[in-house]
Amino acid sequence: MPVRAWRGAVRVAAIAFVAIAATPLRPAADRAPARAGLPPSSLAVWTGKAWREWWRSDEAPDRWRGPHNAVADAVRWRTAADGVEWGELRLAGSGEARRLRAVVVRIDPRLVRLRLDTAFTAGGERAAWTVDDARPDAIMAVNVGQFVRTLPWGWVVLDGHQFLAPGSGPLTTAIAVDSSGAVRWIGPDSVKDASVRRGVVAAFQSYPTLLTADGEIPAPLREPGRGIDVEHRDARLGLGALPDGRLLAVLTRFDALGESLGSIPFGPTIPEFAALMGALGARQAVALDGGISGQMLVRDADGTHTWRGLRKVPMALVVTRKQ
Amino acid sequence: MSYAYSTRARAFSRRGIAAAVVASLAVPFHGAHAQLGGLVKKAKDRVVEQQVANQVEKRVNRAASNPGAPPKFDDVTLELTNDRVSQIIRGLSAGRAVLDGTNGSPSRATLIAQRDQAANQSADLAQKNSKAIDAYTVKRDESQRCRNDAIHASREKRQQANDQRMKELQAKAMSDPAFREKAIAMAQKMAVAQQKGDTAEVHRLMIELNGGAPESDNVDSLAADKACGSLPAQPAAMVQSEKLNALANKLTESIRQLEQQAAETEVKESKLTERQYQMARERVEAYLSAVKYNAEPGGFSAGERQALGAHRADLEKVM
Repeated sequence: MPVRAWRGAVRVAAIAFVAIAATPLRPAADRAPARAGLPPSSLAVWTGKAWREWWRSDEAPDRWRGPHNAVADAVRWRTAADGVEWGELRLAGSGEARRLRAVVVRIDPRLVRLRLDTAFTAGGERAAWTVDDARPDAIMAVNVGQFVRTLPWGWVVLDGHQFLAPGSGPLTTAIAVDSSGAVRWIGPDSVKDASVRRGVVAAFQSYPTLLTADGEIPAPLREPGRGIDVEHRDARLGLGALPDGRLLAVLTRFDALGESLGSIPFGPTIPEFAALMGALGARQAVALDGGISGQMLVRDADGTHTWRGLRKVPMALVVTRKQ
Repeated sequence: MSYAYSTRARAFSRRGIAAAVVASLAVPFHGAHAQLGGLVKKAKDRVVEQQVANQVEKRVNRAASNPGAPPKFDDVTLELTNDRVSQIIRGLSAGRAVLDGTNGSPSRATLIAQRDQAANQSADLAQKNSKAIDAYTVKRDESQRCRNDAIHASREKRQQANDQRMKELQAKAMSDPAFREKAIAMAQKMAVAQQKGDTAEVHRLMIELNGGAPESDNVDSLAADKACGSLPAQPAAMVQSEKLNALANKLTESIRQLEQQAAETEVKESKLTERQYQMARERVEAYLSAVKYNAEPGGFSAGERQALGAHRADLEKVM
């Protein structure tokens, strides 16, 4: 072998070695087999230097086994208090979701207290909670559950008393806090079982489930015609559980002109939002009332950060310091 | 270990590494093509990635230039023309009528008043009788603890008796061939009955094999009653307070049902599909909220702004 060729091979091998070492890990998700799929769309994340596409509807995974590096690394976490961290990331999707921002909050239930607050007008005629009504000691507050007109849909437990009976549906998830402060995720089959509901001090229900307990995306979110509108775009709000037991709250905002148009209900589709929850590391997740209802507050050393909605809601999850 | 050995070992190790590197470089001369192919592919990927990034950039910038643009109208998101706004008002008015009780059922306001009355009476009773209720709670907890201990002790005693009985039966089966044959036959019969799902027959065979009916489960409760007495009776005020709470919960559920009925009526009377109506309603709410606070409503076409503006007062009345 000529010396020049030999040296060339050495260089190629060295570069290849470095390239292999530098290749990021494969996204921790199971690729889905081809099927009569989702409408064409994609999601990119701003890495701080460039847009990086990380999800496509025609290659959407069926299951998330861990966070997607590009998405998870795009969040610069800030500490609001012990047990509460928050950050933002910029996303670019298709159609009305071409410019989005996601507000992401991680909550450690072991270090904080979780409670449900409700608010109605004097005659009970209307729901009346907004982030501006969040109690002064709230570190974080977000609207939860769904509602028809004034009262929350589904199961509601306040201060240990059942206020409203459980609702039913295959894609419902109940989130309950027990007397020790631990959070339980309860599926649609178990929520009517009285023994499962024992010891619960606060609970609410919502839908649709975005990720089941093992990071799997429910079948109705993977293709059209199975009861979930997989095409509609809206501002989204969701709550997830990270493998270490922390909660992950995510609110998407329209981001065309900063926060001034943030409450316009343009955003991802439900499958895209499920992907975002998975890419941020959630192993299970449920959608909350997004659209014009979605609103969130975070208080940190810099002050109070609010992302307002256009509608008053009946109920909110409020995070305070543990007494 | 001597220093010389160590040096030799290191020298050997270096030679080994050098040989391994040479081997790895020699073998991959073919492999290098594959890796070179990998590099070319990576370069191509980078080009594609850059193209994707450029496309995304264009999309994002386009959004920034026209931030308040209306959504894409389709089968779900309908453009809110004058006619459609009228349809929504018709639906909202019909829904409001349901809430107002014009169809003969109690209005939401009535149900809310009844619910609040029941809840307030319950709270009042609980507050006025707090001493009696607290005393009862302490006594009940004491009694419950005593009963739990007694039930546990009774179960333990029964378990020991059962274990003893089993040992005797096993010993009998070892020493008494007739009993052993009977036990095997019974076990076979039990298996057949179990396969058929005939629990009554399984139970009967168990009793026969054990030589008598087992003690019923309330034996433990009876033992607890004997040791601790019955649970103390709830104070009358507490019973009444709980009844009122149950009534308040029932009325809350009725309010929710009425709201659901009103929502269904709204959709029906609007003549839109449920998804079309819900989307339109949400957009109307967004519009009203924006104009209420003198903000520019984003996400609406010029025609929609005109139609919504013209019907604003009617919408606010029924929303």
